[in-house]
Amino acid sequence: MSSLFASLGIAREALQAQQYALDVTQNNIANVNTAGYSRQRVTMSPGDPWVHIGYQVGIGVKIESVDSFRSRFFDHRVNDELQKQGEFAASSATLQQVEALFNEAGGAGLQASISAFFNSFSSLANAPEDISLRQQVIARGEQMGDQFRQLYEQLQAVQSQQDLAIADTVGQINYIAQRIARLNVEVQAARGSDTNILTLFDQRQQLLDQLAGLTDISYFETESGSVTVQSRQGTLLVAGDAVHAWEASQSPAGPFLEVYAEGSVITSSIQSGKLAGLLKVRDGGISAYLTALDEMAVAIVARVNQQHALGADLDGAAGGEFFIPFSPPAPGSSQGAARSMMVAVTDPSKIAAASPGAGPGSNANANLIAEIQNEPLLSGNSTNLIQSCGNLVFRIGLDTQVALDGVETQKYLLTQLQNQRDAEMGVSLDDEAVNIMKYQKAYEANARVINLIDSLTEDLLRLLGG
Amino acid sequence: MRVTESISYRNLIANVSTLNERLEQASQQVSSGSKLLNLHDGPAESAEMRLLEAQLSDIDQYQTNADNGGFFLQAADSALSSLNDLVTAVFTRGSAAASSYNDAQARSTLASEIRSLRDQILGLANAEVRGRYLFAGSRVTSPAFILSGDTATYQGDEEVNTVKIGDWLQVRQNLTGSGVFSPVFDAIEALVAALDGNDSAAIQPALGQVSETLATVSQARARLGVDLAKVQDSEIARLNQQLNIQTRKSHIGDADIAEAITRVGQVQTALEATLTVGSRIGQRNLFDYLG
Repeated sequence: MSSLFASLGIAREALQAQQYALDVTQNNIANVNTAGYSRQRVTMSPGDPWVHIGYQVGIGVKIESVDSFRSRFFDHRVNDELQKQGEFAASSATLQQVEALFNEAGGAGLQASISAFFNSFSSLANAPEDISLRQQVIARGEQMGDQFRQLYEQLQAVQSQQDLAIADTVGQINYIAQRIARLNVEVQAARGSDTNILTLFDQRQQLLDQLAGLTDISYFETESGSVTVQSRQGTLLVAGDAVHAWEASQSPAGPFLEVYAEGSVITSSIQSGKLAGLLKVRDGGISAYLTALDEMAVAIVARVNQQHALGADLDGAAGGEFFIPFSPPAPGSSQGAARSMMVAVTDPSKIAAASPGAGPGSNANANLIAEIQNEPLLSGNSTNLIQSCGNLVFRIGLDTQVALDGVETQKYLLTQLQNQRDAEMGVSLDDEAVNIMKYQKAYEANARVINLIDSLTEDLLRLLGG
Repeated sequence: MRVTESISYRNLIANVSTLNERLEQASQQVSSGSKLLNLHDGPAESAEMRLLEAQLSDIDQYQTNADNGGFFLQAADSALSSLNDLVTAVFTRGSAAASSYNDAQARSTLASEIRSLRDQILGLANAEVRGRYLFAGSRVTSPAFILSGDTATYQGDEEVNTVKIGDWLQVRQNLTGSGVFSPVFDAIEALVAALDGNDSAAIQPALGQVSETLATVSQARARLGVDLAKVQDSEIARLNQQLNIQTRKSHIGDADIAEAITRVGQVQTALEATLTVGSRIGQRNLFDYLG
């Protein structure tokens, strides 16, 4: 039954509804710069009508719901691309360190030291009996050994840094996983209570995005509202309130850290994110560069020693070892050869420049050793030493270029995707200004209605009271 | 598309960071003059650069070898030139002695003159250049010939050194004394023996022997001349090759400075414009007009 007081009730509900909408709008404005915040909106609906003498009469407005503009579609797309970005960013940062080691812009470097070493034998050929030229050969050999050793150790240092970074990253992954699990609990608790569940969703998505930068994940929301996170290969990380923490620890088989989940190694299954970037450069890139250096070193040491033994030294004796021979850790292995390249000859007169039986002025063997730089010793006897240097430089340059291009592409792609996501869920101050205007006007209008009802009530009381 | 403040700011940041990267790259190219600042700026070019550098260092080495080889060849050539004069002098003295107007006394005097010429020849045969005996083969640390009485004995060996003066070019660096000097010493030995013995019948054949060695000496000089010409010709080839490699290096490695400077200017302008526009983001919104 309609009455003045009922109208007052409608107006009061309406005031509250507009007030609430103003609060939500204000919250949007407050969070205009909050990362991961999705704008919220109030949905109002008319109150259930009642029937009065055959006519339906509305009983005002009620708050139906407060929703956020989260787009699951864009969330997933952004999340996917963040994983790739994490990978490229990590690998490009490391590869740039590596390529700087091989940049011979200053004239010093691997190729220069190899050329200088073999050309010192060619210099010796001009006057093989000259002790100072012989000393120069030893010095150039030592410089080349230093160069190999230095590059090798610098590469290994980068590899060890990667290992540390891998341990840190796994720690970060676990930390974020714990926070997601805690939010899962809060989301469940918030259901059906007054707590703003939308903010929890925003926070959780923010964490999922952070996690995506670190490793490859896929996630889905369960009916209870909690989110389950696992690696793309299906290794569980978060389910409900439980975290299945990963672990980075030394593998018994190799020199480096492996990633373990529930006791088994999952290292090779990690395909993107920062962790994958670190792992790929450590196990793929740098290992391959080290092997290339080792193979070159083994070839130089073995071939120079072989040819050196065929010559005669200043006293006519057969040549000994020029380099300290490499003792492989396993048959056929060249691992560590670049680190152990050392000149064995200390007495310059022991350099075998002469052909056997000839006098101290013979240069035949010096010429043959100098020529080794042009012999196809590597890659199945198809590549000489200088070409191998070039190939290594090419490979490092290309790997870095691919990673940097990936960073560039991901940056562009993510900007586009995040913009598209923001177009939907981001806060626009102009929109919110309009909303404030809208709700403020409605509030004013309802306040006037109350004023009107007040004066109507007074009129009525005056009439009744006479 | 609905444009929010966050989109504008994100785009601004992305654009400014891209432009800054380009600016950095262009200005580094200007200041370094190189467009291959990192291996990733051109992996294939960087690799080729290594090969070109190696070739240049080889060419430098060839140049050193050619200079050294040329020096020894010149020294040998000037020794042989003197040898030619001395052998001619020996022949002249010998011919004079052969004349029937000479008695034993006169012949003996000429013989001692010839011995003194022979000693000068020994000096040439044992020429020492930069501490090495030029004509001793590989036994460069001891004299090539030892004289005992009138007999000169070769102490060296038959080793001939070659040095590399081009990718596919080698040149002989020395000449062994046995081929040139031994016949000369033998002929002189025979001649002085004939003169000392006043043996008219032996003088003529000995003189013939001396004159034959003149041909040997000039053949040896001709051979040295060929080697020296090889050294000289190789220099031009090396310079050409060096120039080609330098050109190629510049082509793949040098920045186009004018273009890079223009690029710096363009990027700077774009950056300024972007920042100017960017500073206006959020400057005006509807709130400014609400009372």
